[in-house]
Amino acid sequence: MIIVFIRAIILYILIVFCVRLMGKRQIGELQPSELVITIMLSNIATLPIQDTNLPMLMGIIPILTLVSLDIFISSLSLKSRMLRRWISGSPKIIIKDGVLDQKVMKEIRFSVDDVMESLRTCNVFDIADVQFAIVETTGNLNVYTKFDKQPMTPEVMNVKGASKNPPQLIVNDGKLLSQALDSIGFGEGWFNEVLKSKKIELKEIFLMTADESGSVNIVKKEDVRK
Amino acid sequence: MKRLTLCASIIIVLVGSSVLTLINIKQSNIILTEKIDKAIDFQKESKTDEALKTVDEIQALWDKYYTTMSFVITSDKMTSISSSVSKLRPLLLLDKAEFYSECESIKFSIKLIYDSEFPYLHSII
Repeated sequence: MIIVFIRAIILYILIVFCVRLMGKRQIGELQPSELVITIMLSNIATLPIQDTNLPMLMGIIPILTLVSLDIFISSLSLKSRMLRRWISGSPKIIIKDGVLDQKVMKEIRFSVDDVMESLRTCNVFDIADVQFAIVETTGNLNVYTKFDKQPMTPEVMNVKGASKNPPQLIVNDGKLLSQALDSIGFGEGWFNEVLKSKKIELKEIFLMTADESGSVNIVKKEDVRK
Repeated sequence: MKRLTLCASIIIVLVGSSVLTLINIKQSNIILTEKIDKAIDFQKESKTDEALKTVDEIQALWDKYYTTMSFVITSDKMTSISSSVSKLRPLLLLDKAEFYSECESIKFSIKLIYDSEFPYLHSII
């Protein structure tokens, strides 16, 4: 039993390491080759845990081999468009100028239900509202709606304004994030002034955000609320 | 680039260690086979003391082989050989004919282990 316990811990650490090695692409939307790797990794990892007759290396070696291969192929794909298309396929235009391309639908085996469901996830409930829709290599549908169905933007309304960066998290559970503070152009001196003016201490702060204009938002820790 | 270098290193280490393991198995098999043949020859020449000493050496070699090979070989493959090795001494002391069959069984089994680890086409497919 203890062997199973120790193997489970080791393989868990290995899988986390491998997922980190494969990078953020793995955690986000998966390409076909990445989906294959993910499924295989999970199956292979369970084998040495379930069967103690199997040496653990028989799990570790294929896991490391598959991950390394995946990274090589991903890196080669970056350099070769042909390889990228061969491994991941290419995006398909399924709706153009408001017209559904049934030939493409048949090619990618997308049913009408699939199309409607994907449109609904993009907040589109009427196919007539769609100007352009692309099925990505991950199988997701991305939609560009017709002009009169698009959300109003300041540009369309001819409203001028300056772009500004979003607020940054500068205190996380009582800890000051100096790098984030620097990124908004303020130093610890300004920070201490703010705390003084709000009559609060760093250790009492659960969350604090600030932006480049100096406006702050503070959430206190619940156990110190009066 | 760091990721690529790390992956390349992983692949090289895996390939290298696989080749080394195979060489190790082969070397160990050669040594074990020689010892077994020696034990058989001593028994045929009725040199029981030398045969017993050789059987003890075989046991020690097998214990070492078992520990190192259990990293890469499934335990059920090695359990039957362990059983055969442990029978050698009592069979020798009782001067049983099964001693020779157990010796041949061990030799064949360790050869099978090597063959199962070697990347023959029929093993891969």
